[in-house]
Amino acid sequence: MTDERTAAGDQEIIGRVLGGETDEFEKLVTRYGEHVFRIVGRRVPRDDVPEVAQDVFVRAFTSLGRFEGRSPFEHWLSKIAVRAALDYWRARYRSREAPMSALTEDHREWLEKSLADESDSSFETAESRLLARDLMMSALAELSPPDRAVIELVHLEERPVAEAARILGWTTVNVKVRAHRARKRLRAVIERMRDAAGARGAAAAEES
Amino acid sequence: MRKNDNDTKRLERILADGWKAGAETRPGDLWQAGVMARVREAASVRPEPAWTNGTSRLALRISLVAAAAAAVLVVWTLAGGVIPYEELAMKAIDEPLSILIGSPFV
Repeated sequence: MTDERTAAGDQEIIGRVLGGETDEFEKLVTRYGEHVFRIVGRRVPRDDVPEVAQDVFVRAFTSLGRFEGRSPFEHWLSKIAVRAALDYWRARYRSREAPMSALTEDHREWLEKSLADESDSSFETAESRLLARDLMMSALAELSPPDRAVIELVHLEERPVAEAARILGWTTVNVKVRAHRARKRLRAVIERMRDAAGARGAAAAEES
Repeated sequence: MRKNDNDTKRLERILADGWKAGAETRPGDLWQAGVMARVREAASVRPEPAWTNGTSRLALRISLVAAAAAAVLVVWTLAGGVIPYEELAMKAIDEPLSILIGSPFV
């Protein structure tokens, strides 16, 4: 019922915005700001989240006339957010700019510790989660932007293949094939990380 | 070998959980004001709806002219301008031979 009410409210606001009441759009920004931050916050480096999230709302505003209301506004906005993140990485992939490629000593230490610690207790602090996130972002940076987008949707967010296909505008077969290949590539990158951390740990043990 | 596989899977799971936690940033008032400033700017330069542009506008004009012409023809026909069956019957009475011989070409 709440969802229906929200959807009806969204439609009403959209109607007013399309009728020329631009300031009404702020209600949608307030309602869905956190939702967009959550999607974008997983996909782009921390410092760039606010800017990409702004782009999402500006894109939504300029294409609001194309929103047909067949699915909830939130889903339509999610699609724009995922595609904005994909465009973000496409632009950087083209210019070979990889903001997450440089890992610090903290990251390396965390990796070594988490492999040595069987209990996962090293993962329980917020700082540790951020380091893990940075490492995953670093691993994802080695994939092409479409591979990255499909991995994020299908494996990390565990969305159904049909939904991922709808968001990316691909066929379901293409999503399945690409997700499978991308997962193998990601696993190879993580294996390299594991080996590097293992070698470091062994060297440290020898020294002591 | 098996230990390596297990380590990789475990590491993958931990990194995935870290990724899911996200950047832990939240939209603030300043950010929202920034969005609305950009939205207002976009609204001031928002292009006219697609149907008013270029080819679409020309097609719209042509279809309006065609619709007007069709309406005029309908009115003229109803007012007795052309009655095909009556015209044919009159011709058959006046010139029966031309209808019979030359009917395909009349």
